[in-house]
Amino acid sequence: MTDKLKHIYILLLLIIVSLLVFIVQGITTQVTTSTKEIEFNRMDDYDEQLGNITQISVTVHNKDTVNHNYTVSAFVDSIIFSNDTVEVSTDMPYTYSLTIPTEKKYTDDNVLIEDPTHSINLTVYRDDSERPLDRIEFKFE
Amino acid sequence: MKSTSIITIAMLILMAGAGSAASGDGTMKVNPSSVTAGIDNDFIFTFNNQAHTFSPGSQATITVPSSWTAPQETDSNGNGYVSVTAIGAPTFSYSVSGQTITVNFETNKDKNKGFTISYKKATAPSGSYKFTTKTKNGYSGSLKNINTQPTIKVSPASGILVVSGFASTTLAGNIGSFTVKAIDANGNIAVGYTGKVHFTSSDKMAELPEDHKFNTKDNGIHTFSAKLKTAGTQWIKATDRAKSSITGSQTDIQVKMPEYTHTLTPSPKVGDSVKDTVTSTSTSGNKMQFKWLRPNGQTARTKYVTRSTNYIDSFKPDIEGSWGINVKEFDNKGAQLGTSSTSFSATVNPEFGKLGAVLPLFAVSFIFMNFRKRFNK
Repeated sequence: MTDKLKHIYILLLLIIVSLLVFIVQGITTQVTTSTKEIEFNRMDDYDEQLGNITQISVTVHNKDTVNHNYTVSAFVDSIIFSNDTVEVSTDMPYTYSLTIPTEKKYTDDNVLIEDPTHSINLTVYRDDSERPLDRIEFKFE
Repeated sequence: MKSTSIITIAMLILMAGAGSAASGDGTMKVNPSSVTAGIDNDFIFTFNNQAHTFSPGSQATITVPSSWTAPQETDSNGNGYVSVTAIGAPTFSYSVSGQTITVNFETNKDKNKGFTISYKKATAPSGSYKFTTKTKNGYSGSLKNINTQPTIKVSPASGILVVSGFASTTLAGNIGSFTVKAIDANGNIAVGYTGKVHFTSSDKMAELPEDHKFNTKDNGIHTFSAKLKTAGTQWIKATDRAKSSITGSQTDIQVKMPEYTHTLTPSPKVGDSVKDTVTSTSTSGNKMQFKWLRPNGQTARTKYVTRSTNYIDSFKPDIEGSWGINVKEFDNKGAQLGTSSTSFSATVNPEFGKLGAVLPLFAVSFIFMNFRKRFNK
């Protein structure tokens, strides 16, 4: 094998390795992002001013090849809290999140004075469809 | 005959002279000159020198009739507040004592010099009232009535409600109190009024009191609370449920949006957490909507945060470019109180870039090739 051929061989080898790296990276990315179209999440936390707080979220992954409008309706204790419609493109996620105080507060005599939230209901709609794409209810004791 | 005519002319001249000396110089006009009893009005009295020169030491007094709201110069939001503004008069000062307003001034002989007196939130029972105005020229003169005295006609009210006392400037969402007075035809408080009053406002998001039926304990006056929430000029109206002509309103209430300041994480990178701390001048207990907008304008996240000390939200930008953050503040009833926006530029963190991952590979291969070259030699 001449030096020239050796160099060509090494160069080709490197190109193949680079391509492999790209392919592996692509596969792992796809594996990690291979998620559901709608994902709900709940996280409890504590705030010095508000006491116990809860973060409720829903993440939308548009699996279609075209952009869609998603509407997230939130009801807190059966009262409409928000109704947000956003356009979600095929390659970018959208997250709706709601952080609310959930701590019951009592007087020294154990009388309940603050009972902020009992339930949160999230419903996701796509485009003009009246049929919900997904929904969830979080309850607080 | 000749001598008689001369004497007559001389007498006429003397009389004319005496007439001129008997009255003060200048004119005083008032606007409005016709109002309804029982309703607070703002009046402007305008003094004009009528091209007379008023030497240093000149003075004008205007006496407010005793049945009118007493003038005062201490509380600018109070009833009967008086302030004086010069019109081309080089020096002036004023004071209020009892029912009399005294203005010390001087003017040259140019036309239309003088001053205006603003007399605010004043009312009186029905009738025709003369605001006696006197002037004197220089230190040595004496105060004399001007020829035409400003007059205000107060017409009887056919039963009205007077709404007043809500802060003329307020922050959206802040609670404010106001008074409803039932006024009879003579402009007096109708102590026996027992009508049921309903409230409306130009602010569709306003929190207004429930209908109130006046009772004998009210004695024609009742104080209420309300929240105005929409920025702009608003009014509150009270109307008798049974007789809609018995009505009244407070107008020109300036509702201001809360003020916001954003503090952002400096020099944010793609993938790093960016924190936006928003301070608001509003009262606590509200909620804030954060919208994080990608450079293409699409919303990456909507988040509602209940206020603690400040409103705080964090987000990890997933692409580079200029991001926007729009915030909207809502009260606990869902009324939007204010809005604000800010932006930041997210730059690529090289260690996360694909190029960053491939470049070392090429560097290694380059070294390897050189090594092989030397090895083969």
